[in-house]
Amino acid sequence: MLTIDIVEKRFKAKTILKEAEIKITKNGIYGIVGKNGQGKTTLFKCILGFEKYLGTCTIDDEKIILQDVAWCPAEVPIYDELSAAEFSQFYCNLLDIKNSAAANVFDVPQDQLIKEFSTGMKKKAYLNAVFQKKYRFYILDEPFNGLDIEANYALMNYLNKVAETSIVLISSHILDILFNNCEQIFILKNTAITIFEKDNFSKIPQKLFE
Amino acid sequence: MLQINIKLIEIRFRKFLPPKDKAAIVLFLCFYVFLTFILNSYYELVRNFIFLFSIEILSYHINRKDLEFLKLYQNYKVLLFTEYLIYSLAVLVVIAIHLDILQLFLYLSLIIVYLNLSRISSKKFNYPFLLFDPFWHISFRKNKLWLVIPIPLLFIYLGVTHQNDNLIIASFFINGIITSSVFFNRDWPSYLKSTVLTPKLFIVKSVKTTVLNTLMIVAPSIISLLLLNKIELLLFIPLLFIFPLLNMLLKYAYFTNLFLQQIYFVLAIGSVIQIYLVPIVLILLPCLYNKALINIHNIKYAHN
Repeated sequence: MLTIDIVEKRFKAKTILKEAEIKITKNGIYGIVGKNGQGKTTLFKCILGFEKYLGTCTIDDEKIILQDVAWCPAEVPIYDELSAAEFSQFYCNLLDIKNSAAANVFDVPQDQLIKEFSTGMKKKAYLNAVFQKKYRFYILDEPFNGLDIEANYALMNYLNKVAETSIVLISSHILDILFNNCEQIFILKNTAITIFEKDNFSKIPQKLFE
Repeated sequence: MLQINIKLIEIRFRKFLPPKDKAAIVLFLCFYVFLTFILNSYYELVRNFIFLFSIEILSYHINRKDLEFLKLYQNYKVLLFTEYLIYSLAVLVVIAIHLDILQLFLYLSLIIVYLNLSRISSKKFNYPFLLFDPFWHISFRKNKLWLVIPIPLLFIYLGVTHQNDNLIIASFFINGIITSSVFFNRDWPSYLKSTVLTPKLFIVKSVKTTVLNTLMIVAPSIISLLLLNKIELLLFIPLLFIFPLLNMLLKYAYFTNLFLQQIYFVLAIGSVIQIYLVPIVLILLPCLYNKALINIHNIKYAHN
């Protein structure tokens, strides 16, 4: 079970999140939606412990630690001067992965330097490296940005598969994908979180734009 | 043109010298004057190594991204030449004080050669380095360090043929600078947080990686010394490993302050010239290890 209970997160005088609570009891894909600057990335950073905040975030009653989460930020931190294969190897060393699951969800030239890749290809190389291991919890911040249609399809297929045994949290502005795949969607607006069940997804645009 | 030069220098240094931070600028200038003073005091000792200062300019030149833009300026090579002269001022002033015309001519010629180097192709070499620390690959590719690898061997050859052991010792310095330069790069903090290793194990693995990767670089020098029967100089070999290990610890001890890392590293290297200061550097290693450990711990573990 994933429990997010952020009492308050503020940057100096500005409150970003207040009494933001999420409880997820079953595996599946869950969406986070919000306009730019509403705090989606900050929420993820709090969950992962990149930011100080008041509150607690736990998975299966244990504090969330970064090495147990598949984390894909909106702009992937990837080393341009490595090849895709070298980056994957580096990631294996970092997480001490002995037998890589080598999902290779995306087709990426393994021997080419990452600096020669397009934005989308960089994201594919990064995700391939991250998906070498199976995790209990996945957080992907705007994963579809930069990816082509085929890659979006491949990514969703993969996430649907891992969601059978894991909790997957995705933020995106592409509502259609979230509507089709999510168990619940959380709207982040004015520091608070509103939960929408599958039956009420049609009301999301109204809530977002009101 | 001088105004453009000043702007370019300002752009380069503003990352760690904010224009409004007068104290930092004064400190930096003091350090520069101190460097000039040290070079002047030990000129005879450092005379043969003075060209090493130009390597930093070469590295900066081949990696700068504004060259296409600067080409819009009619005499852009003169502009760059002036900028690099300003960076080399400490060296040039010292050479001028000693009226060493040959060194001055060679140094200026080197800068002109750098300016006219065609862009070295970005051909990918498959380096055998251990990937626990990706910056060995990154540094060698980004700074084209493979170009510098034959230089120590050349120094050893010249040292043996001219029976000048100082040249062989200079080759150790060059090797030390090549391997230490790797640690002036920074990891993404998220990777330090992600690692499953404890800070202690992380440092231990970093030490192992540093030693093995350094060995790959210095092995040709060691083999050359063995083949050329310079066994007594092999006593200096541990120094080749101390340089990168020291800078690796400095990197993690001063992870958020590259400037401090550079200053301490230069001071440590400078101390090697005064050989009696080496034990102080060795004594400092455990303290640095401890500081690096605490720093990694602080970066790695989240705080609610």
